[in-house]
Amino acid sequence: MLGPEFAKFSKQARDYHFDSFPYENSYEEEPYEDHYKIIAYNEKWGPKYAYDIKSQSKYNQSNRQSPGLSPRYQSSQQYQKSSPSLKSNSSYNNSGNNSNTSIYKPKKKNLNIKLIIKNLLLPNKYNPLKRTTFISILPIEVTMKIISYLPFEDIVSIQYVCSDWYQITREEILWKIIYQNYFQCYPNRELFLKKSDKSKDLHWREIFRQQHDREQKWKGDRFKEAHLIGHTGTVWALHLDEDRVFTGSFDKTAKVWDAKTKKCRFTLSGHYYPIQCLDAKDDIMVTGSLDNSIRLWDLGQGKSKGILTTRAHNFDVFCLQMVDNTIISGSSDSTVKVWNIQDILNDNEPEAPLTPEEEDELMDPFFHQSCVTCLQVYDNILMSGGSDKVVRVWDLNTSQPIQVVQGHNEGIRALQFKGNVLVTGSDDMTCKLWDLRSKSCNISTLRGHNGAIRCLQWDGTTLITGSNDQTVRWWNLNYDSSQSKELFSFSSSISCLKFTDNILMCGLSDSKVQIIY
Amino acid sequence: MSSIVKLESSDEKVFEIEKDIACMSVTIKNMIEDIGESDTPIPLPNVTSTILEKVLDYCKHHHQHPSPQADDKKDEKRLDDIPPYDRDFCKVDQPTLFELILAANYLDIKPLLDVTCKTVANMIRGKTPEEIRKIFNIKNDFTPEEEEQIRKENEWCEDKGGN
Repeated sequence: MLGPEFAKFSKQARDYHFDSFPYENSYEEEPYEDHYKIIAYNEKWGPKYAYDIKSQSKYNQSNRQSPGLSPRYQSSQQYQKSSPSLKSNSSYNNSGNNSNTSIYKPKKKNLNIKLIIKNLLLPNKYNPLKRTTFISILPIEVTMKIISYLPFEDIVSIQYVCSDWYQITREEILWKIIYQNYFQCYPNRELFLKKSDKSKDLHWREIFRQQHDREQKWKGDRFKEAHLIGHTGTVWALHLDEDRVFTGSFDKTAKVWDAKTKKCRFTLSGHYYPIQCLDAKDDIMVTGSLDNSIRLWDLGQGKSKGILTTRAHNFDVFCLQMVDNTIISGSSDSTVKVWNIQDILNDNEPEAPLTPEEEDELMDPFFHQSCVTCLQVYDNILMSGGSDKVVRVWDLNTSQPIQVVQGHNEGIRALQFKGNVLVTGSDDMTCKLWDLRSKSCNISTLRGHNGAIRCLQWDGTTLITGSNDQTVRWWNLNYDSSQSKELFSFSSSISCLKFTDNILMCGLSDSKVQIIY
Repeated sequence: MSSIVKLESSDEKVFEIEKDIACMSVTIKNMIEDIGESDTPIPLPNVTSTILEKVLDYCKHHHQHPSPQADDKKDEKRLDDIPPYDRDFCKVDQPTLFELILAANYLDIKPLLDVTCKTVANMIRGKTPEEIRKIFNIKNDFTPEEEEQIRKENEWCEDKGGN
């Protein structure tokens, strides 16, 4: 019954939360070494790499796709503007354009030996005695390799050495390496070393700068605070978009706030019991409540648009996500259900409750053994976490379970996944990182909170968690150890949090929303 | 016992070495695969005999003492994991070091390239720009205005370094 609908929605869902990393499909594995080799070719050193056919083609490719990469430095216009007087070394400006000269392809065996030797007998152009800056002696990718070993602080200070060195630090590819060294992007580097749609026009230096800034600001004491005040009960649910903040509260209302002015735009009331979860996109907001219903709201007019009261769940609606035309909701009746928004809109009259048989016919709920507390959908993969301590992975196309992830000692409260990596937060006061492709699955357990984890968000470089112990923690995930730093401590427990590149919001049980920016 | 290959440096000295050892260089390995084994010395016009000798020493040592396969998942960016032999091997004057890097790069011997690059990185690490200029004998070609420009560009990441 759900098949065709799912197929449609999963296609649309591709662009929803993340770039496009379906769980099973393998994304393009980019070997680490290639970062250096992409820019290997320049006039002086190009022929030396005649063997490196692979990176040759890669280079050309990247050349075509992003004209910014070459000729060099012209992509980083913002930096050029700010430093117009810096001399540009001619060898840098000429580089990159002559990559097509004399490529030797070692495909056939028993090639003419004379030809090979001819290719090898290239003039040895460097003379170490004349050039003293090693950057002008070494091929650029080797220089990159050297620089990439350095900690970030040193890369800042080498910019002052001389103009050659300065030019090298303008390389976008170098900033990508810096980014990955600094933020680690553990445990799946390839997955996160891609520009998102939002940042695809940004120089890697700028992307690094944004995230570095955020870390320095929040971990230090330069952040600013603000509050959204208006609710009269715990803020359970929180959602952000460009210019709006959506909150749902124990006081049974949902509010829409202006992110700039921090003023409340609408208060939406209609639920009979506290609101537990919400999601919003464009003009539609969806709220799920302990009154077992899911409501749709028209944000253009600020009023209720449709209601799923009787048909929603048998118990509290705990979590939901809206993906294009579909709502996926999880409930303490231990099911996850998938709804078509259009059906709800066409059907304004509340119907009599369905009998269980009718309900089974209507949909294939995904079953847990107890309350479903959190879920996420991406592409055709649904993951739901429950108080039965497990995360279940489902294929929405077939409505079949794929995998059960277990290891927590208490119920799961929050989860987020991308690609094959899953992060969960649990009542047992730990977060766990999972690699769903590996056999052992659990990669690491993050300890640090002294209370149940209530909420988390993870963007590949940063994991931020909120807990009943009234603190928000920042986790540095890497291979050796995962340490956390307490970011903020509040006077009440944190029930939900969301962050973006420059703002962090926490819904607190004292009915306020705390904003850090 | 593997067969012997001959390598010819830019100053026309011929070195004889076991094929297995020579094949630590991906470049030489490819060449042998392409042309088949022959008595003709393989010319390496970018490498002088002094450097080639050192490179071959390095290859011989590591052929006899293969280093344990590093865990790929581990952080590759560590600067303090240079084994003692390699550290001594890299204790050479700067021109030689850079020629070694060039040779390692040309011959495509990854471990040698890694270790020489790390050595250079260690020379830079934690140094002020002035110290770096001194070490590598570099002339500061910035005007005070340009330096001020860079300082402005770097405002966002500098205040941490100041502490």
